[in-house]
Amino acid sequence: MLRNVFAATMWMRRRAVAWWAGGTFLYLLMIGSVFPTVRDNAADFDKLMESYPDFFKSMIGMSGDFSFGTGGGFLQAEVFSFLGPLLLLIFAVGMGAQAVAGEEESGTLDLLLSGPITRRSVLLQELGAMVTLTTGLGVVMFLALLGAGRAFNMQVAAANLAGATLSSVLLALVFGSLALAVGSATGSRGIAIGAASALALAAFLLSSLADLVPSLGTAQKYLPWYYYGAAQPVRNGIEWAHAGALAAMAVGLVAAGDLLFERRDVAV
Amino acid sequence: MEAVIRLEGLTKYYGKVRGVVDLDLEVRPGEIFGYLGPNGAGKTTTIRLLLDLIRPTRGRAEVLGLDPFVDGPAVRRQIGYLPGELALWNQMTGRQLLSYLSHEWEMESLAPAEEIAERLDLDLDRRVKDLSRGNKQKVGLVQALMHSPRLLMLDEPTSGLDPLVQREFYRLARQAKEEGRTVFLSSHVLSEVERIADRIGIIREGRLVVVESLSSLKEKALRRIEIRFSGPVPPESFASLPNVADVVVEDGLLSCTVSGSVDALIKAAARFDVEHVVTHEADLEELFIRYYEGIDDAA
Repeated sequence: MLRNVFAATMWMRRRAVAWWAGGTFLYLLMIGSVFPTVRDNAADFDKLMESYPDFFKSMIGMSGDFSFGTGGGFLQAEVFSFLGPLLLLIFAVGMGAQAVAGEEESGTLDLLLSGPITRRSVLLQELGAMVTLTTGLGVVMFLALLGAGRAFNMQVAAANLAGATLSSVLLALVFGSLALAVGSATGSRGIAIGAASALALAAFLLSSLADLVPSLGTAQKYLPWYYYGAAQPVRNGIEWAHAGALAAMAVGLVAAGDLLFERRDVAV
Repeated sequence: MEAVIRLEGLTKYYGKVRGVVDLDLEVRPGEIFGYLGPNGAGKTTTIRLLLDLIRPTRGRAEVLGLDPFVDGPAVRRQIGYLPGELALWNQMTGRQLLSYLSHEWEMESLAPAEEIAERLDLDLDRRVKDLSRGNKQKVGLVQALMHSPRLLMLDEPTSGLDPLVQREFYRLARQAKEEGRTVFLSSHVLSEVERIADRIGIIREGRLVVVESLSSLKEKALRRIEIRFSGPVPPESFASLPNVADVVVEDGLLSCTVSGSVDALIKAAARFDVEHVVTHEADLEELFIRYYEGIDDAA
């Protein structure tokens, strides 16, 4: 059961993961249950949304032939514009910050690293646990939405749902990797969580603004939210180039974290 | 014989804060080396450097013939380490925790750990967070010893242990020595290392001030001696003897302290009619406090 750092991390997170999974599942079903009401009054909702400021519309991803009356539009606005990825992101950032910095702050990293193991191995195994559990939570999210889609007749292709969920998982892993990297570099869980959440929020706001401010158009292509949301996978299917960009960002962050972790002193 | 630990000018600064400075030291195979010093002197820094948990500012170290900063895992494979500030995974039971670490050590069975736990009277089925400080320390000891390391690095090992368990620990340490293992034992209390160490090094403010065998230190230590004469003796006969200090003569009773050889005192006393002599245990404590405080004439 506790065969290595990867397994031990999964084991230590088992209760938290169960709560997250249960909560996410119920929450998404609940959101889904609202869909029939929204669909039947779609014209009113769409008109109401039209009157909202552009920034707000951009934030929830309203563009093109968007309508609350379609399952895709509904899920885009209610789940994938912000809340869905946010749930996964909070989870992944928590795990990333705990990975090295959390063990270090509680003092157990000393014991772990005093054995015949390299720092890189610890970091990669912790990363593995973060990726596995975040993906697992993504699967729960996918299943909840698939179930809700069937139950409330949303007519969203399973492939699109899968694509949107995968994009959310990848986005969450970018910021989880950021938290892991900052934690590995500083040994502080607080700084790791702070830096990752502040940057996630700032990047999100900037990306939302970028649709309205043309000069930000290029800048946002450096930000993960663009590669997450621009293609709106729940409506249009996944854009693999964008998914690849997210994965590359995560890998780059982990590599940086590894480099900095390798060079520094481990705190008592 | 190849040294188990060899330090050459090993120095560690945390930014501007002094850790250890210019440590030169050789620890020999099969000895119990007591590493003594007050809190904050650099004992833990030394140990954590050798485990590659922290990186030296300058200087060299060799552990079991390897460079710990290059061949970390290969060096650490042969080391058992008990941290000074022991932190364990609280939600595991003792057995789960030892099993977790035993996998890192690639041990084939948990039997050696269970055997040591039994000797220390440690219940492995309780959760770590429910254990007393002493019992946590036992878990720490078991994980340090269970994979039969060639070198044991124990940072304040008996803190939190009751006297009975302390005694069992001393037995374990001696047994390790008999099996040819080397023990590097850090402590701020003399009585701890005095019992089992072959040699000791004293570290003060990051620098090693003395490295010597316990027996030759004891020779240097102050020894209280009282001599009862059958009649009054002239104090001036004992006033300026080599190695003798704090002379008080009252009626027929002389008391003084001696460091090193008592020869001069005995020969001076022999000129009078001696009824009996009482010598007290060498007061190492006094010597250590002098080293700790940096009084130069300690030696």
